[in-house]
Amino acid sequence: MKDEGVVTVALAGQPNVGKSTVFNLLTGLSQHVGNWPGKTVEQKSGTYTYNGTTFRLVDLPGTYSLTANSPEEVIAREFIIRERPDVVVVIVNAAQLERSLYLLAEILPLGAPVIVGLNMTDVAEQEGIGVEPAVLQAALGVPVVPMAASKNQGVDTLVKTIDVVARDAPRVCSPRLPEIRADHRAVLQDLERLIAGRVPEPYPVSWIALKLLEGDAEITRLMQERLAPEQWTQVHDILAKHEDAVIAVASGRYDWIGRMIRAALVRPRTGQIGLTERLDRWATHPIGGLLLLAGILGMVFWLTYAVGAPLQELIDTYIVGAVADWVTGLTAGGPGWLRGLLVDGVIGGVGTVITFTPILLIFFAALGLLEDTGYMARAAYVMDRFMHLMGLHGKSFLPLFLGFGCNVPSVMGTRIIESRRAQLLTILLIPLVPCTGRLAVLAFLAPVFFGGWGPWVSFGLVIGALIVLVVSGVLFNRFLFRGERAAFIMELPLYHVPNGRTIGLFVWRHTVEFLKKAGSIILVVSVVVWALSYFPAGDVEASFLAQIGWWLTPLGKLMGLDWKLLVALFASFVAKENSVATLGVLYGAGEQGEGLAQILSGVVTPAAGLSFLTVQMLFVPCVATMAVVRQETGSWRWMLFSVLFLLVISFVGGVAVYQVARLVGL
Amino acid sequence: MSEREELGVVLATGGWPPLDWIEEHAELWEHLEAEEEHISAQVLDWPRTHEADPLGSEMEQVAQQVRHQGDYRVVEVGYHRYARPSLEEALERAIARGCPRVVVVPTSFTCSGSPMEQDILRRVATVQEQHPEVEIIYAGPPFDRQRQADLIVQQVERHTTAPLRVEAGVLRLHALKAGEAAEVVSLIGGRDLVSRLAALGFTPGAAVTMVQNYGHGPVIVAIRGTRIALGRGEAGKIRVRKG
Repeated sequence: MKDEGVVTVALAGQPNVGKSTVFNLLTGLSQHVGNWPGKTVEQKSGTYTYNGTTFRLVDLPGTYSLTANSPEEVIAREFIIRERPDVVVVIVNAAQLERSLYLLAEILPLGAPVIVGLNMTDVAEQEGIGVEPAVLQAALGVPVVPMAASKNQGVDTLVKTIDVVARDAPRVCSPRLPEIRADHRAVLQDLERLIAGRVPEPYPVSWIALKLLEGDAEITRLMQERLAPEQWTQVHDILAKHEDAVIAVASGRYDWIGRMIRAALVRPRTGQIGLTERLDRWATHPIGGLLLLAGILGMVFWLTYAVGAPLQELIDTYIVGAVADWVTGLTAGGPGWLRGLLVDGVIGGVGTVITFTPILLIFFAALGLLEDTGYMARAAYVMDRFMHLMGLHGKSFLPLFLGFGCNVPSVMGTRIIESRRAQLLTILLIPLVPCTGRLAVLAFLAPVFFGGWGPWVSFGLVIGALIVLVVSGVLFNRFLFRGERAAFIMELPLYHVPNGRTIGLFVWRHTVEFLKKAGSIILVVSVVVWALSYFPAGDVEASFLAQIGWWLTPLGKLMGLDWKLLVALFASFVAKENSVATLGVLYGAGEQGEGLAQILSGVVTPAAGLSFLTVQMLFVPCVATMAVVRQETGSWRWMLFSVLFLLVISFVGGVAVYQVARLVGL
Repeated sequence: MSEREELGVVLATGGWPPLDWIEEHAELWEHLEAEEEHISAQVLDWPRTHEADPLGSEMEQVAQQVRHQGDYRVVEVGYHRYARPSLEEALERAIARGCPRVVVVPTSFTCSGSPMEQDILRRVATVQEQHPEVEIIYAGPPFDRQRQADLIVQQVERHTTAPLRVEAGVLRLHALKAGEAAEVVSLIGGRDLVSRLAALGFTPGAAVTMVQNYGHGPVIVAIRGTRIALGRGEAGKIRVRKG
């Protein structure tokens, strides 16, 4: 693990302490994003050089503590214990010093050399809180570096201090360690005596004893394996008698924090109202907060489409279209299948992904901005009571909302949900959130079928999809995921001025992730679908795809859909907006689809059109989404369940809408 | 009721010696049984009043309810010991009323394999021998476990409607009004939840202020310089004292 001459630095910190801003400042675009081995938790690392030495910076997951409540916490502590980084930088929030030092209280007993990055001193000032770094340093016994990372202050000093500690840790780090509350000290010693000699390397004995008392599931399992049965019985008896010790341990840590900050912290005068409190009067109000949220989301949509859609069109015409024309010209002399493979298969697939990038960029930028100011937690809070209907809580709102941009990052975003049950449920519901692809199809076809009523029909269909989402959520919660709801405990961070670099990297990372994931899969499937639509005869109307469509005609009839509309639905499996292009091919419209509108309005009745749009809103999501569903649920079964569920829902929806529409005479 | 998770429930039940013990100590056991039979015989003709025999009156009411709900021709109570009519007498009465099929149901839901159940089975068999023309069915345990549990849970609820007695001045966190300050007294609930809350600073003695509470939905509290949104259920697991 340890390369000669490379210093490993672990970056630890609770959520909302500005840790990723520090990480981004230090590593910039050198960062590498992957997963922790065997986990679906993101691992970010990067390098920087200082004085000729290379420093490898590993960003540990942001956690409030190091007890095995979640995979993130286990990853963070295992890294410090097993990989033995040369330096651990613990970022704390000066505006919430007491709470954010708790993680430090957990990390210090692990024995690694520690530096405290006292971040967000600017926010603290704005809230009227003063912290004396030198006094805190004297109390803690480890270096304390004051910083305001979002304003690029203090980062140089941090880099210097890391270098100093990496060279000679014992000289600068002699921390004072927290202790368990006095009434449990004897118990802790008993435990240490019992397990001494049986604790595997490299775990510290006292730390293991403490984790046993805290009821840490992982450590309990570990020690049960390592201890002889009679020893384990003794340990178990002690633990059973002291089930409440977890509170004594936490209290001990907070008592220690109290001693550490007593001299260093100047609290605001009582009665002084900070910026956060003033803003929250609006942002978290049960009605005002909802109106504000609706307004903000409306703005995000407006911005995304007002700016993104024209850009998308430009790219489509001047880049994708131009390349397609150029390739068409190049292959003019060659066989027809070559042109088809390159233009319809490869360029069609990749082009789709590329034209979507501007919309996603804008959407992610807006989300990154809301996230970085601290607003998103408020959105989750005001939505909590609605999410309860589905047995979810506020935290599921964020990934669901992300789904309006693209279902792919949305499914990946469910990682923030602590409970597996709630995560699965959210993943099952996400495909019912209409993504930009579906909305684009809706925007194009609704006016074709319904003329001036188009926008209203579109609006109704979006609302309809969301109603289906809520009803499905309620039913799933009632019948499939019975059991207790995960606890809703969420920090509302202090508002702060967003940092351009943080948002920029947020957008960059999400977009790259989307392009990589979606791009490669869409390319493959796009080629496959093209092949199905081309072979065996080189003509769509006699292709395999058409045969499948013909074969399903009896089902289609119930929904009022002919085989061409059915095939268009299947094509949307590659990417949602493909259905329009496929309709263009099948109905023999002109290249740019201008003719398509007239042809369609002539042959498709409004009832069939409504049915088609309904099915396409509820249909199986695109293949890229399916791939991440498989990845995040970690099982083919859940992915297949999701596909089946959506097939049934969209079929039932289509039949119902078509039959009702005919009854009322559309 | 969020108080449920603070409740302890004890199921009080009779106990029986294991069957192999009875086999090994047959003499002792027969002696005990004979003794009980002897006493039982003396009690049988004792005049009974409602006050002195509450079990008898209650069984009468149960029998009436069953007759009413099931719409049966006859519902009789047959006693194992100490009271009349005996099981045999009750069976005879039903047979005398011309029922072609008689069902025997024990009222103790959990008597599988007990000596009492075995005694009932023996006695039912004897009556069956005397009346081969009648079909006698023994409908013993197991009873539907879920409905047994329902009954027990219902009973627990009926007896726990009064608010939980807590130390004076101690209340649940969500009972605080916006702006009120208090001190954390204790945390209730599973270890995972307690551990998460404790890590966020909800430890005994910590000062907590209610920031927002509209009487329904989640609340916002300030603790150790941090604002934390809590579901109402979660807030209910934190006990505080105003001060």
